[in-house]
Amino acid sequence: MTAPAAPQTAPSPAAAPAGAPAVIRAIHLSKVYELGAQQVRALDDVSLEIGKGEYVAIMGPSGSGKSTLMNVLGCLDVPSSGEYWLRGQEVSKLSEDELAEIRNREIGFVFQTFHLLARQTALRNVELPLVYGAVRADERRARALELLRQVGLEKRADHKPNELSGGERQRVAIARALVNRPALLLADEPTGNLDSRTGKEILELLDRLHGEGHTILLVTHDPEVGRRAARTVRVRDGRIESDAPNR
Amino acid sequence: MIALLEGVRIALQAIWGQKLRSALTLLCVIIAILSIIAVVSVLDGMDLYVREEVAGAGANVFTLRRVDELKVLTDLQVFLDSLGNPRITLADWKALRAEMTLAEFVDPLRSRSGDLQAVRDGRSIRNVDLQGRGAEYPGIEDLDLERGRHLTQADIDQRREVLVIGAQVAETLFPGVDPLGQKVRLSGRHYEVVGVFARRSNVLGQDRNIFAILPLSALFAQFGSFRSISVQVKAKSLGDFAAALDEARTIMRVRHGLRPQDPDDFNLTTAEQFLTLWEKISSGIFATLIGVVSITLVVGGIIIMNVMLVSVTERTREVGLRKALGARRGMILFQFLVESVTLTSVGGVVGIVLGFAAAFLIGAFSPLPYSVKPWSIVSALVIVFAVGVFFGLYPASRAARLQPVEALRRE
Repeated sequence: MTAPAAPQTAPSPAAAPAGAPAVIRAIHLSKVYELGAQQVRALDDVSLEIGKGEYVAIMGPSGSGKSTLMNVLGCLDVPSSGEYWLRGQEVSKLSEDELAEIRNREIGFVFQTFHLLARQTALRNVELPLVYGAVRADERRARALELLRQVGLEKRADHKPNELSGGERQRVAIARALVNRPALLLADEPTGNLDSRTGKEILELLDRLHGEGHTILLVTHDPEVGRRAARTVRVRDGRIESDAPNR
Repeated sequence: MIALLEGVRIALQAIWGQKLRSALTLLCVIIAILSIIAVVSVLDGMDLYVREEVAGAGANVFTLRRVDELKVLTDLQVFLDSLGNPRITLADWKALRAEMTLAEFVDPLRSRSGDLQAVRDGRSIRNVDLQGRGAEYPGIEDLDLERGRHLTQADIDQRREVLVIGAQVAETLFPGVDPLGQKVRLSGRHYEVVGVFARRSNVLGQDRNIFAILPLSALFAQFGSFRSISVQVKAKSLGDFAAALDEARTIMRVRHGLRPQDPDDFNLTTAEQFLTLWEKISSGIFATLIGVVSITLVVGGIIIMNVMLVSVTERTREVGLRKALGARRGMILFQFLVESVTLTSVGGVVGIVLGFAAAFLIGAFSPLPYSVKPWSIVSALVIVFAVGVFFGLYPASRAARLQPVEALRRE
């Protein structure tokens, strides 16, 4: 929260201060898509640093490149050029399977449409990252139950997603995102599919997680949602337009 | 290991979640395997039967013939050439009988077809295989008596008009009556029944009980002795068989006045030759049928592939999610492979069981014999497994290659 705002004119994050490595250090990231003969520059020389424990909102209209930025920062996609350091590890050149491992270990995803497995119970959904992290069954269960307790859904552990309300589903998704103790919680429009009251509940939950020391990256186009974060990065046309702490 | 278990679990849930689709897919595999197993079992049974019953009984028996009819199938030119061979006569038989030292039994044979009628009440049976024989046939052929006696040397010498009849002939002509001593009309002459053979099992739907044996001398007296006969020779032991064959050949060549460079103008046929021919024929049938049935399996495989492609498409988002949460390519690949292999293997096991049931039913209710070989079970399992892997590989690798970003975006 005390992380200084890093306007684009500031010294390159590559020269970040020594000490605890930043959770995210993106240096001159670009992402170019080839659409037929046309080249689309979805990310254009983006540099960004996010410290441990920060709560940052990435904002921008649709088509601004914020989704691409989120995909790259979430290791779902690799940049065309530039460097991306996640917790001190350069990940932009890793293979697909290595990226899968990074995602599993370091990143918790919360999606707008929840993306829960419909035929599995809440508990099984929360366990899923642990399965791919090769955690033993009894420990998986214990940790998943603990996470469900933290989001207030321990009594709903055996329910399937269609037996849960939208807010409950998103809380299950948040529990799943946190179950592997990731370095970064990446929430992509987490309230986009919720009514304003449940949306508020989810945002309060994120606030609480932030208070507990989690590093959160919130992607949204909704200024009201973005305002919850301590710092806002505005993206437009693939570039960072502004990067400032919220008052 | 944990991820592998998860893969199995996901696959089974996917199969269970699409019950109708899975059932229909299973059905295809089951039908394919069932037909393979049934066909293989029946073919195997036929093979076993031929080896043991048809050929095995006469292992040290060979037959002297003017023409070898089997040659029509194996070597037509040789067959056509042999049509010019001189007749085999009673004199040839007598010469073999007298001169062979390695023969235990030597018996002449001539068959013709005829209609028999019971003199008592006019019942009749048509197309009976009438075999004119000498007195030594009981030592050569595996013919048990139900009642009465075999032909004797006296019957032959005195040209007695007597018959030993097959079980079906006895049943048809003399239902509920003791056939012994009964008179039978054959083309106007009356023969007396002196014996009845025990019932023989059918081969490939052929009733082997519609035959009668009568003295060759009587047959000649009634129908003329112009046509060639055959001579069956049983060697003293299996070890003497080749030597006995040579002995008979030498005697015949001398009798026919052949020079050393002349080819034989007669045929000596053995059970082995018959077996060789059978092997040729049956391996041909085998290959063809297996080929035809394999097509079924390929069709089953294509259906599996199709179903798996649908399954992958349906679950694109799920795959994307799993990848986002840390599933490696190999895990996704494995998950879908398990699904296809499970479908084929379960279908395979059910198909094997039903296939054997079908083979058993065929054996029970048709003249076709069957036999169950362990290797056919093992190879069927290997084949279905391979089909599952082969046809599952492409859909699975398609799933594994999905980009998580793309996959998650898909609705």
